[in-house]
Amino acid sequence: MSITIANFFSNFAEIYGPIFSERIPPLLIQHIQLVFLATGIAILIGVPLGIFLTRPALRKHSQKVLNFVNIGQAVPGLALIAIFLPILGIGYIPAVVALVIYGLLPIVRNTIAGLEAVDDKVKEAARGMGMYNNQVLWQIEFPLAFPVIMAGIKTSAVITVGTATLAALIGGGGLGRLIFTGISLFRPEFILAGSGTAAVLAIIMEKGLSFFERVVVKERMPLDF
Amino acid sequence: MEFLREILWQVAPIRYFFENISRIITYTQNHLELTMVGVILAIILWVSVGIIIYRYPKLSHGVLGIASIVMCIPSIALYGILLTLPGFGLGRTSALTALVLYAMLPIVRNVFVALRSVDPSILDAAKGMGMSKQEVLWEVQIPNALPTIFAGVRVALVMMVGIATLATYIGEQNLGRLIQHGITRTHPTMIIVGAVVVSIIAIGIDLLMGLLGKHLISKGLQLEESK
Amino acid sequence: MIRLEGIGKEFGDFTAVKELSLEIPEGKTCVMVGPSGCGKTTTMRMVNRLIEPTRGTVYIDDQDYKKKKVEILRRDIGYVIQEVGLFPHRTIAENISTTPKLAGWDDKKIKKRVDELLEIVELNPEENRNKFPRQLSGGQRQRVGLARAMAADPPVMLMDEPFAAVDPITRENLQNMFLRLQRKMKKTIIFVTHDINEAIKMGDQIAILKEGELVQADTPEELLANPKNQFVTDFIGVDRAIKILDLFSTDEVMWTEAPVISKKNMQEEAQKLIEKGEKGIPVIVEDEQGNKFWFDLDELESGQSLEEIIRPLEITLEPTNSIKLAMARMLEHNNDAVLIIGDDDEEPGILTLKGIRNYVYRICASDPGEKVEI
Repeated sequence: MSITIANFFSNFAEIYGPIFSERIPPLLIQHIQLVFLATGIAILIGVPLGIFLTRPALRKHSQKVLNFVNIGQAVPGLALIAIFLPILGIGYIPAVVALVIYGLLPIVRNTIAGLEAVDDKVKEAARGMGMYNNQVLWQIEFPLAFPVIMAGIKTSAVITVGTATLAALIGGGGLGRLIFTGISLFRPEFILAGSGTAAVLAIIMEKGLSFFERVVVKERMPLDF
Repeated sequence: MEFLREILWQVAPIRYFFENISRIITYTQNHLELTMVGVILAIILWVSVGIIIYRYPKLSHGVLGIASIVMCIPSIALYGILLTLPGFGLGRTSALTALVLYAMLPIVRNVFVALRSVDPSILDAAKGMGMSKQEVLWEVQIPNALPTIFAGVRVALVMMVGIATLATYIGEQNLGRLIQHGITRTHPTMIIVGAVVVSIIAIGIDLLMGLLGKHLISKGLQLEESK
Repeated sequence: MIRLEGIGKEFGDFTAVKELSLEIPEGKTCVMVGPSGCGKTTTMRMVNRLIEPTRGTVYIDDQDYKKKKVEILRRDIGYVIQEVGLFPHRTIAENISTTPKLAGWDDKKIKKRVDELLEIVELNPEENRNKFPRQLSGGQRQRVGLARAMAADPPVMLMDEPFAAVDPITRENLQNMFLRLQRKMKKTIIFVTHDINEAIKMGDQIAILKEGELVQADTPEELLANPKNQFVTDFIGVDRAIKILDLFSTDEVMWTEAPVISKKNMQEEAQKLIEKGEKGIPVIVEDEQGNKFWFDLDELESGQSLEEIIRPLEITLEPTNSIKLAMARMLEHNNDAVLIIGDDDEEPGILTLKGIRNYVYRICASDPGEKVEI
């Protein structure tokens, strides 16, 4: 028994050692870069867009935008990545563009939903105390909506980790390359190493952002939405 | 008419679509078959699990934790992992297993949350009128929880349509195949047709589920009403 | 008849109800009242075993209720709660038919019963039958809640603050409707409230609870007249005297043997009454046109002319009216007496401000625990 276990481990080390020391690190770094870049851009576009769409002038349209966003989320990730191939060609930039667009949806949706959920009476009270509209936004609405916005960012980041594995298909690199190589050559060790790392990365991302959410958001915002 | 047909024929994806219509129909059938079997299995399994963790709340933390971890795993990674497991391998078993696993979080969580958030005074009244525990569950709690449960199933189903696309890489002959082959052959028309058809199906199912929900859910629970 | 026998409940270390015994006669309403946390709701919920008593038991019609299956027991006990708890996914008709369905009635009988009940709670069946609860107002929902509880015609009803969540006007309407119903239905009811005014209005019997113990159980009249201790007095409130006005009817306080004299020679007739040794009684004066006046015999002692003392007796009330109403009418008209005229076979009477004052004072002046005959 102990021999088989020892064997297993020596086999394991023999097979997976090189994969994890040579192949995984550059792909993992590429993957993380892809995710951070895409999520960062998605936040920079999505949050202001969500705020913009809830301002009085556009507020009556926000439901339509939400419907559109919800429909957009029904589009499969593979379809979205693939559809950019004919338009933007192959490479890193097309992959980032596709990921940004896909990652935008949950952020815009939650920003709108979070801001819309702020009680009108609270806003009225703030205005009644003499706040300017932008003071109401930054001192009242945004802090109250922040937990919901943060949840949207978390969803977006986790989805992007997953969708980024597909970036390999259009030459965007990342852990997907190892997985797809493994599938086409039927090399289970490639598949497992790539899939396992991607899965762990996604879980760490989720747990990390949940932790951030708890510490930063919940402590200042004991209100439960 | 003839003229219009001429023009449309010049648009490559449209021509491709009609030239390959029988293959696309087969792919669509396979795609829908996989998703439908998946969603039915998922409903049977995860609604039961949802009810169980409602009855034994101590289990809820663990079960929902597992579900949210499963949800995080990129779909191609989960397919990849299943592919290497003995007994799964290439083909439908792996594809179905992955789909059912992804449906876990939206369905289990929504069942659990929905059952918990039924107004306690309603349950009190039901018990006080002499309903048994089973009658309270099936006649009061589940119907009241239905909108939320249904929303969970809807999310799960739409997600499954998308994730099923990737199952082409583990041997499913479905709409993903057009995208897969389009990419390997650098055939943009194929990619566009595949992506557009699968998106239309996903969006269509989403809208259909919305309509179905209106018929299935008691009018007493729907927010909007005809005034 | 419901008999609670040494019933008690502990939640861990906390004793919600100590050991409570109480008997509610057939067809009567017993209102349990007390400050929050006194155990009134717990006690009520033990009667339909939504809370299982730690000790003691309940007898319904002399049968130990633990001998019945709990669901069957509950089907014979109507249950109304403050939040109403209507099923939002079912129509009004479906809501009302819950217990008849559980009892296995046939559809035709159920349909008839639903309409009948909607009529009873004063809702139009045509209009409301197929509505959903969210389409009704708070008061209407509570009416449906009441109808639903009465659906299978249970002999016993439990009502937990049923009218607490609606506005005061609606509450009064519901209370009055319920009193009208109860006069016909004669159900045995346990009614929980924190509002002593509601208790006095609704109850045949009031049970005051404090910290899980029964402090006093009596009729409202007895309770107001003879509060057992300072707690009960305080709970009844500083306006006990006003509450008494509401509770007693004019025929309990009025003077039925007031002498009637004619206006023409009233001076002499009044003198005769004094000579006869009468003192401090109201005297009615009648002129030839039938107009009535009155005075109190004590007022004449100074030897004044009666013409200056007598005042018109222009307000007429019925023997069933409350003394509060009589007071109100007197204040409105700046009078100090009203005439009480009932049916032909009832003796007419006169109710004076002085009479009310003495009556209420006699009840209120006694110390807690001291017995006052009423």
